[in-house]
Amino acid sequence: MIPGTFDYFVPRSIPEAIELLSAHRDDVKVLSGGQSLLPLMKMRLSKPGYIVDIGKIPGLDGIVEEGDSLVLGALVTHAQIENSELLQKRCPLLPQTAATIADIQIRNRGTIGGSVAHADPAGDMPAAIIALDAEIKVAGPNGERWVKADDFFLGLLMSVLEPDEIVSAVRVPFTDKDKTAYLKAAPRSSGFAVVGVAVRMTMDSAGICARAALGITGISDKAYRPYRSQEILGGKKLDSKIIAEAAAESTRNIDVIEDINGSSEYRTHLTHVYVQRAIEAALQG
Amino acid sequence: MSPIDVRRKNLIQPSEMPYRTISGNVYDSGDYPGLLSTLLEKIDYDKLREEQKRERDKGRLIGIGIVVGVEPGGRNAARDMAIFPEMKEPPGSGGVNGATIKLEKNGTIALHLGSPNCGQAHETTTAQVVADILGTTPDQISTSIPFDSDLSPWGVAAANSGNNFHLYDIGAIHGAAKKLREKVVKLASHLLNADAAELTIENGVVQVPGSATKKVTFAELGRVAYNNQHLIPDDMEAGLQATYYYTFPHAKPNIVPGPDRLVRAQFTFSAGAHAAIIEVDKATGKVEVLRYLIVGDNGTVINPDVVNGQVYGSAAHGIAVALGEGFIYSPEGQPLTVTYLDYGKCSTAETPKVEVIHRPSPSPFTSLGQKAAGEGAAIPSPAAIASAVEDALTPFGVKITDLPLTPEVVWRLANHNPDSVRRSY
Repeated sequence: MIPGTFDYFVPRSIPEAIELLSAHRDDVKVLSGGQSLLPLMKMRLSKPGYIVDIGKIPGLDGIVEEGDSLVLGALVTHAQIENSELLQKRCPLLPQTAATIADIQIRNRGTIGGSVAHADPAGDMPAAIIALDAEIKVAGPNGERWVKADDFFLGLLMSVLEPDEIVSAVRVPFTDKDKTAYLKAAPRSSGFAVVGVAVRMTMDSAGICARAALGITGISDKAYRPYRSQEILGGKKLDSKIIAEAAAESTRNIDVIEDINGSSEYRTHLTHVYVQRAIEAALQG
Repeated sequence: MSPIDVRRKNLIQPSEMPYRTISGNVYDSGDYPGLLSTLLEKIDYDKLREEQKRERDKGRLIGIGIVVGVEPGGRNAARDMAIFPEMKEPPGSGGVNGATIKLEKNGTIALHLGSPNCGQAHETTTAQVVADILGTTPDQISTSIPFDSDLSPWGVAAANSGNNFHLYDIGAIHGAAKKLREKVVKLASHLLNADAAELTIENGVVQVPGSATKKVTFAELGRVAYNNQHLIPDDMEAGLQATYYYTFPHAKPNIVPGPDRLVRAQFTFSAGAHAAIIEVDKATGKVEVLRYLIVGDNGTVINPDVVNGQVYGSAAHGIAVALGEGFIYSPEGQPLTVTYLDYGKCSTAETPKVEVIHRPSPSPFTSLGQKAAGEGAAIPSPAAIASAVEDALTPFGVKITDLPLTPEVVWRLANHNPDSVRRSY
């Protein structure tokens, strides 16, 4: 439970951080809240020679309104998200998701930037930001770029992030009027998701689901959007038959993993159940 | 025959106590039918069955599990001979343990236990017992923690296992405190020129009741006992210190196995009746414990908070065994549950509320009627949960023969696919 030796840097600006990352790009890790990286280092599953702690960079810890969207700095913690009145009002899916992450101690330290950059296949935030059509701000040697959540995750702990890039912010749209929910199954309250489902639906005045957006985590190598389920729900009046049909399509073309917490058969079934329940929960909420 | 009738028919009756089992144990005391009837009354069993049926008709799978079990306490070291037949001599026998108690010069009491404490509040319980015997209050008593085998008396039972504390440690401090009380009274009666039989002790003051002058405090006695030889009776050892070694007075017969191999494995027997009321989510296989009630017999309860803590802890272990714990291996034999991230221990958040009602049958064999509490609730609880899950799945004709009942296992059982339950990946 003791990590290997490493050199530790605390840059005071993003360019300074990028410079350090570029200098040590083959052997460097970015430290944010440390809730994923530090356990991996303690178990020696990760042995970086250099750590760049971005925790002291000013300007990365706020939630600000920009037009009809909200921009969350990379250092905003899950606890801040869970308790933000602004988010509860403007983008409730994020607080709904943050509240289910691990335990209070971890939520106090873990950050949205870290959770997105780590690209854990059982992470909760990746599912939520996919359902929110969020954009991720990536800073690197050539400046900044915005990446759509759909394009960000590539596979197991892999994203489009280059070794000399950092996630500096996440932008989510106002979704006040949408129906949202995040529901997850976990072996223990502080455990990883066996499946997690984020749902966001835009309902029109006639009770028709104008658009449905979903993100699913925990059952494959990365969080994903079940396109076919969204198509089934879109433009329909949602009854139990439509919802069940959408749920049944939520694992189409997905290579569902298996481990000690569930076989792929069980996880597939559980995903269908959770998609259905998440939709119902969103409609009721 | 209902599961309750089967249990009622099998239970040993209070009139049969002390009861000798075929393996040589002697159950010291217990009212097992009483535990069961109190349990059934508290959960309103018959009404609960009706409610279960109504809910089942609505599609809810509720299950009730009722289990009664005993908890052996106070290990006999020689029992290992019955476990390991190749053993030619006992590794020890019975349980010997000591305690030293000292009335200090300033009137406070110091206690040296014969075994270590690892979170069971030994200092709280022992101070309470000593305070009662000596006529003082627990705040005047300090207990040496941590245990140091160089300084403390000790014996074969000086181990934090085998549910030993209640028998050997309480036995030893009880004996030591009684010895010290005799010394205190003897010295006081000499100083006060009073008959020892007349003296009472309250709040650290020895006195002739009603007399304004015939009284002496522990601090005054302490100063005399260690300082003033001329005030100490000639036939009395100076100092106010006592060491007592306890052995269980009812250890025979079968303290060491003879040719018949009968042996007393443990010397006291606590008991508990458990009710688990659970609900199975058929779609996910998740088991939710709706209510968990224990009617327990831990003998005389010396400190309810301490005893309840032991009962909660052991119940939490047993419930986790039923619902999540298990060593899982890959087909190649690689262990997969090597950290608490993977091993299915319940944390506080998953542990259901456990209700405890005490219905003690004090042991006739121990110093205060006390019996063990440390391991008891872990014994019936896995069976209570498994029985409740099987009961909930009655409509599917499921028999449960294996633990743990993880969500996937229960899902397969509830969905007519019991043969597909896998135990490794």
